[in-house]
Amino acid sequence: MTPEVRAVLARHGAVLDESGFDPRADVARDAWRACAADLHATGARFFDITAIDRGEAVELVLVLVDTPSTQFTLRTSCPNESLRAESLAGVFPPAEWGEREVFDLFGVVFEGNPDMTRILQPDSSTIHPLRRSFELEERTW
Amino acid sequence: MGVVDDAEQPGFITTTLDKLLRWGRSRSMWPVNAGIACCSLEMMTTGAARYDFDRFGIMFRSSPRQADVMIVPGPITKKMAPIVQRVYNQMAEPRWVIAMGSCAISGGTFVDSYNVLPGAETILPVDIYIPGCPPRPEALLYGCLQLKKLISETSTIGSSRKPMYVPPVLPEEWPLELLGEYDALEAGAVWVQPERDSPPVTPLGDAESAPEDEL
Ligand code: SF4
Repeated sequence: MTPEVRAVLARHGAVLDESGFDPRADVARDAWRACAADLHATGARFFDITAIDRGEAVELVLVLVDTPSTQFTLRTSCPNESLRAESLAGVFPPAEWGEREVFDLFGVVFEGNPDMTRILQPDSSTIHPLRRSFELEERTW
Repeated sequence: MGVVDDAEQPGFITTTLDKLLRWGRSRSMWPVNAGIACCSLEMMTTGAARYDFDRFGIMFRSSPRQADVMIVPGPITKKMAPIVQRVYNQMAEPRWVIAMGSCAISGGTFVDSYNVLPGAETILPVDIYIPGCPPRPEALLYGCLQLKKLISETSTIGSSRKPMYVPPVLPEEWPLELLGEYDALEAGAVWVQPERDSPPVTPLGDAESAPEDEL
């Protein structure tokens, strides 16, 4: 990670964990978009956005690559009672579809995404199938 | 079929129109070129030089308007279902459906999935089922030859098949979306052929509340 990236993470109060394969930084949900925008200003590129269901909360995972090609992740946590986060589509345009996928499969609503609709399932669907609480129907044959 | 053995008018055969049509149709099955999942790779192999679909008169057409056979090579997702049904309803009459592989037969390995139909027969009238995951090209060829046999044995004059196929039971959890006025109708609905040279009318409900035809 470049010193610029470290400085941005420190400025937004991110907790950095470098014990694993990729460095991971946890930020508060309020700082999510501002931190991503500042990382974008350092030259970090968007790789992926996805989520993990932690039971009590859904953890958003933003995978970025900084300028000398080190991959790192920025994470934040959305408690089950308020599954909302600020959209990063204005910072990283490709995040729009990734956020729609996270909405479709996990039910996290991204405020400010220009088209917050389902992307993989039909619009008539009412389920968020990658939540741990989702159960498949029993087969009838 | 009879051969007229007449020295003054040579070169005549007698047959019925029905038999002639069946003979022609069974030897020129044109599947619509629509791959859905991994089985379509095997479908492409069957079309390529080593197995050579063309020697049976089977040629892939890229437009459903020119096709009369639909090979369903994979699982149909709920999002894809209205499109698959629309392609089927756009095909030329009479038309046939081959369910290729266990996914198209029953949902296969995705049978419990939240997003996959349990078999193509949920939304299409399937004529031939080819088991396998994926079926080998020989199996697909064999299935096509079985279909050829079926076509040459089925009279299609005065056929009961309709221009619009409506599944007998539309699954409730995945309502087929109405993409156009001619696409999906409610189960059991009667299809009314609109008069030519007049604006299309909705076969169900009143015409004024129908969406504008954008074509
Ligand atoms: S039957 Fe097997 S090969 Fe064919 S679409 Fe299904 S999973 Fe793929």
